[in-house]
Amino acid sequence: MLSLLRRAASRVLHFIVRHSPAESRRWGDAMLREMDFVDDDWAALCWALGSTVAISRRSLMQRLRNARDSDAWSVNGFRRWLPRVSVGIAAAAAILTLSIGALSTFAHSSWFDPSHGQLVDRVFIVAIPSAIYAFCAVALWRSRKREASGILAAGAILVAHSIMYFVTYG
Amino acid sequence: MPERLRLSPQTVLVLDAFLGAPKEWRYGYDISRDTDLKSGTLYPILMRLEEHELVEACWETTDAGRPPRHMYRLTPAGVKSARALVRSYNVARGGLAVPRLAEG
Repeated sequence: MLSLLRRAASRVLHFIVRHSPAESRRWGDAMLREMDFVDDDWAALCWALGSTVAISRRSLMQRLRNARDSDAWSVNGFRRWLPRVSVGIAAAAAILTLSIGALSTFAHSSWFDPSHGQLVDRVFIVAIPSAIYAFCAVALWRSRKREASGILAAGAILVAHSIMYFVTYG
Repeated sequence: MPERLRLSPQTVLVLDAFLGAPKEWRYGYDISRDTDLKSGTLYPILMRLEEHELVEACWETTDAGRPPRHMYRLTPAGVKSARALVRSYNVARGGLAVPRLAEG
């Protein structure tokens, strides 16, 4: 059992190391390598968990430092990414508008059953746009990260708004 | 420029472990056993010491097929600084709370 836990912890550490910034990876590899020399399973598990915390903390600090040092938050950086994020938000708004238009057409059709009105509302206004946002964001993430971020931001607002609405009105 | 080195009891413990054999390369797990520090405490200290150029690190050269290990030792400047830091820590603690390493 412990051996299984040791292997699982080692895999988690391995995963974290592979996804750390390059500057932190050397340390992660060092910790991973040392784990091979820990004989006792329990000690190895503790080693892996401690290392995971240490490398995650370092990676986080490194990412924050890189973000602070980049010019994304300067006026020039802001000017560069704002229009592209706005395109993503506009695309998301267009998708929502189309979906509401489709709902309206559907609601006026002869085969619409008013007893399912609430469910149909939720499908057209929340579920379908959210699914399209998620699909578009994944598809665009590699080539158009800023636009994908805009779509994701709009999606997050829609989902947050829907949750608040459902909590308040049921 | 790295921030000022935080001299915690654990950092003193690690420096003291290095001072036991200042010119020798040490493995992380060996230092961990000598100081009784867990990896989650030891490695951030080693990272900080390296950032302050008190410790240098390198990969061990190994036979083909055997993955290398990361090794650490005090830099020449690190030996001097470590002695001074451990001494000043001991003085500040009135010589009572000196971290002691396990023998062997």
